[in-house]
Amino acid sequence: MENEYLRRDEHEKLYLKLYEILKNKIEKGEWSVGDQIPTESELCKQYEVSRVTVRNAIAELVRQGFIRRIQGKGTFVSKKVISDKFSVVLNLKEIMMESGSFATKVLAKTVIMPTEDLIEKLEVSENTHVIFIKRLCFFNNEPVILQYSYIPYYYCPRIMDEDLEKNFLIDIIDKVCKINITTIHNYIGIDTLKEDEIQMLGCQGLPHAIMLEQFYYSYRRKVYYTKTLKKHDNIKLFVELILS
Amino acid sequence: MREEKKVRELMVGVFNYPHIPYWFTIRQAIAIMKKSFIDNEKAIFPHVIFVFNEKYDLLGTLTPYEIIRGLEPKIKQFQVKDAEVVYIDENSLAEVEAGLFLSEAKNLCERPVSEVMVPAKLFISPNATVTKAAFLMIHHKLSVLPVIENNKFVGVVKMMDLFNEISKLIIEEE
Repeated sequence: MENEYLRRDEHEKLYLKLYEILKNKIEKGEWSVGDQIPTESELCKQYEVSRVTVRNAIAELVRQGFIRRIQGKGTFVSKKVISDKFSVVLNLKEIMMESGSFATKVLAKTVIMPTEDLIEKLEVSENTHVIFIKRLCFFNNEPVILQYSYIPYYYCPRIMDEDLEKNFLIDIIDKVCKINITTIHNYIGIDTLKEDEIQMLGCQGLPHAIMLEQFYYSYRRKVYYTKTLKKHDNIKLFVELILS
Repeated sequence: MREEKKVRELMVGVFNYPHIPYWFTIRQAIAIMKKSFIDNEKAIFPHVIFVFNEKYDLLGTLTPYEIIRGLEPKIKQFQVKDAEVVYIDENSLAEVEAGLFLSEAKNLCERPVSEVMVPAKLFISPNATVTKAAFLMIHHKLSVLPVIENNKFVGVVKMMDLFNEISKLIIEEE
């Protein structure tokens, strides 16, 4: 087991690191289709981590389709599943950090009741209070990105008092609300801007925008949802995908 | 006479009630009213929705009364406004009846709630007395009175709780 150890500088993401290690084994063919993977307690011993960490890493592998559990027999490497969904990991935080000349303005920060589509998207009951945040991002003083975020109020009432122009929402959720975001599901599409959105973004005559819908999860729990709209202009979004 | 209660002891938290932004339509407000109060067993009275702006300041309140008033066809609204006296003849009433559930009400449904809500102009401090709250509410026909502390909307006083409190004072005096 040389060169396989877990660095513990970021304790909360331990299970994701274990997930990466195990995923690598499958991808490199070290564990091939149909192989039984070691039991939870074997993995605990091998990587010197807690059972919870192993369990979470396994759960993530199952969810991503790399392995499957067979009741009473064990956990096996499954056939390679090719997803029909184009998925990349990206969020506004990274987009903004890439360039220093971004500025953010909070246009709205209020509490609302979820409308029909939000009930579905956030998987909340219809009488849940939801924090609604609307932000406009400027690049060289030009409005470029419009972002709507929706977070159930009970997860993090303190967001209402936080500065969302200088801080990233994901950081507030993590540090203030102590919710560890582990996965972000992203859907990319094209959206037609509404009249008020066209005005805010100043893109008369170009009503189409790139739409990025993101669902933020803490383990299995859906925490919040954002919809990001980038207007049709010559500014490109840069996304770096680091392959382990 | 025992010491009078303060608003702080009587008020209920703002999160007992639904919140919406002022640009929600009447249609959306109706849906929320129905889900939060009518279809929900935990519903509390009065049926009030709070209307906020982008900065999360309270702009107004909305009850079924304002919603229905907002759906009232325009014909009748003008008559009432111009005539000062409320005079409803059978014909204009028939028009209203016909209009309510037909096309006009459907169009009116798309208006923003800010046009029909009761604007929040009166507030009370949590340290004020219950009597003061009662006076404000009866003089302005409010079903709830917003409580403000350090410029923050912290709760509301409900008419029924005031009634209960005042009734205790009266009955115990006897």
